Amino acid sequence: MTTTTTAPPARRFRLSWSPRGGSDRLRADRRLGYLLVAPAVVSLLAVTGYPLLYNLWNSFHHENLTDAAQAHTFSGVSNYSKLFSSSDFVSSLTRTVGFMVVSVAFETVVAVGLALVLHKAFKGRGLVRAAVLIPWAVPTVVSALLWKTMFDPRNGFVDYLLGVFHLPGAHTTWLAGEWTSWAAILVADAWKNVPFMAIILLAGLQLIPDDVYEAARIDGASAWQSFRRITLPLLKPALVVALVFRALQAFLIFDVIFIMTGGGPGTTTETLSYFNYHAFLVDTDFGFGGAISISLVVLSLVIAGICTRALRPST
Amino acid sequence: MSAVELDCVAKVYPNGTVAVSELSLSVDDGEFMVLVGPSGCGKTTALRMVAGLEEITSGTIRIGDRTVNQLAPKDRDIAMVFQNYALYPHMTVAANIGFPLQLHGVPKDEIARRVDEAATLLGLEQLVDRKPGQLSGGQRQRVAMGRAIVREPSLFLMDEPLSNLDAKLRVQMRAEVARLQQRVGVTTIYVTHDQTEAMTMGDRVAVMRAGLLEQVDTPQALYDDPDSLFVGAFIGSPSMNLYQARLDISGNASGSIELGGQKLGLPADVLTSRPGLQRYKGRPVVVGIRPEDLSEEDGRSESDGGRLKADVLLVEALGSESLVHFDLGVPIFEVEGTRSAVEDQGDVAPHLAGIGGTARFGPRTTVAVGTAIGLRVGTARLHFFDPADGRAIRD
Ligand SMILES: Nc1ncnc2c1ncn2[C@@H]1O[C@H](COP(=O)(O)OP(=O)(O)O)[C@@H](O)[C@H]1O
Ligand SMILES: [Mg+2]
Repeated sequence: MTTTTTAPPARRFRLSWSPRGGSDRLRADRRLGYLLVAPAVVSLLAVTGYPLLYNLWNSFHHENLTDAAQAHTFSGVSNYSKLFSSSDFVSSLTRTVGFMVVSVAFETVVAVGLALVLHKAFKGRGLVRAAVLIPWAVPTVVSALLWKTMFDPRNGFVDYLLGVFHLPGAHTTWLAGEWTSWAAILVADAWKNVPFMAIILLAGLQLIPDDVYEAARIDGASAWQSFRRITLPLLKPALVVALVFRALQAFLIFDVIFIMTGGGPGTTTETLSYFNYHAFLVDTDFGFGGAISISLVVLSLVIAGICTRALRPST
Repeated sequence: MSAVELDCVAKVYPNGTVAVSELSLSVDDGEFMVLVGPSGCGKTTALRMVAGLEEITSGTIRIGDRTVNQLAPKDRDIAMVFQNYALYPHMTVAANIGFPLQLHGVPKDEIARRVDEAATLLGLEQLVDRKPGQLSGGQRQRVAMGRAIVREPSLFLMDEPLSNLDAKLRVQMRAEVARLQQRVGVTTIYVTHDQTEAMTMGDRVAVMRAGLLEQVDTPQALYDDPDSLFVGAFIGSPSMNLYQARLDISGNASGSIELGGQKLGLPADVLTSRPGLQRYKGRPVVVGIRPEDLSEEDGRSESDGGRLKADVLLVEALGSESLVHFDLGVPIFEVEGTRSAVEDQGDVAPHLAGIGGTARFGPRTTVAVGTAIGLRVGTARLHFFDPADGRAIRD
């Protein structure tokens, strides 16, 4: 978001010192501070605060477009009790958390590997580093469509390649089965997000001084020990950032699934966001959808808290 | 403990930089060897080749009775102290010191005991639970030393370990490091660009210049008997006064040099002890005079004719002595690569660099700025160098 603020008028230098002058100046400083953050706060409130409150309000009211009779009437916690007793909610929550854990773990391992490779000095490194970011720059809708095509059993690249190398699974109709669908989603999601993670981790790697590695080599560390005992602990801050970002993104995954499987086959790839989309735009139940949204926000906060706590550098 | 032998070791970096050429050097068992030279002369590169952090382009390096060219750093039984200490930022002081032991599979209780021992030896007992970020420069330096000695390696390598400390701490740590080395008795190669550090710490000092070894000897021998102009100019603070002069030798074995407009008489024994001077009869030489070999003319003895007239530019009273900067009317003979080293140490007021010279007088000298004085020259201790190749002229 861009906001333009005019520079504050230069304050005149105070020659005389008065006991009240200090607090005056303090107050002026504070006012300037509020003024400077105001545009950001206002925009944030508009784009996140308002929808949040709107959904919170909805979640305690009857807001189903197909049920005009009860519109806007207070519903107590009925939307929430319906949600928590819904088997669809429980199963989509399970799937979502499962996908989050598996995909983030998988992507982290690949991203750490990629970052280590990009960190090495080789000819054309700058070009490769830039090229790696291309998948990340492609809009998810586009990349998801691309992968949907790639996983097509007749015209797709994936089955073709597996066939060429005589690997198992060359005749898989990927998006027809539950687990093969998840595999396809995982690959498409990783293709887009690993580069982003790798670049964050690369920045972290570049902060580790070379001579620390050299000291470890002299102290007797093997490559693995140096990775385990030096690289990983020192990479922790970057890992936390990448993990929090990715875990939340994965938790809220929607677009890849919407495009590739539409939640199918059946409802086997429906995640929480998909469930939410369904409540809002298919069932047009804004009260129930609001309850899901609020639950998503709370769960996201919990996940972010867990990630940062678990990886907090020990002091 | 073991001796170290470098035999015609060279290093050419992939970009074509020749950092070290034909370096041959032997370090005795238990010896404290200092590698000194101006910045960029290849000291670090040489040390890193010994450590195994840099591949050797040609030549061989032996540690003890093993040729280590192909050995990984961890198999060379060495410990290194880096210029920036290279402590592990996420580990406590105790973990830093114990890390090499841990990697070598030493049992836990023995690690604790040896870390304790090292920490005590270095005065770090109170700090073992701190992280490097919570330590001062001097304390970090000690932790780095601790990590090096705890292994009881056969060789210590140190790359300018004191250069990040402030001047006072540097002097203190200089003595501490030297004392520690004497105590543990481990062969040490110590790199520095600071000639004072080299002179005060080393059993022997190897002077490097532009990738080449100039001279290796004890500090005193380097000072008294430099093999080359470079060593003469580099070693000593304030540095040797060097002037281009013309050598005249009369038939009967005594001679003189002409310095600017002045004549400095050379008694016969100066020439007989340096027979090589005969070849420079009537030709230019570079003459070197240590500041302490110039003394105040007191008008009493005029016999030896070793006497020069000079204008006083500046008197620096240091309490124990006075440094008198003077102008002989002859420009200083510049030796490439030594100027910056001397200026680093702040020995010469910048506006005086390049002109005149320095004499070391007693603390109670009465010479005044702006006056002309007579300087008595200790001609027996003069140094002569070939102006073309810079070699000392002796025999
Ligand atoms: N990795 C490198 N690649 C190319 N040239 C280098 C490298 N490291 C050092 N050099 C060059 O080699 C020469 C010697 O460097 P160095 O050994 O660091 O000198 P010193 O430690 O005496 O200051 C310098 O000219 C330096 O620029
Ligand atoms: Mg160096």
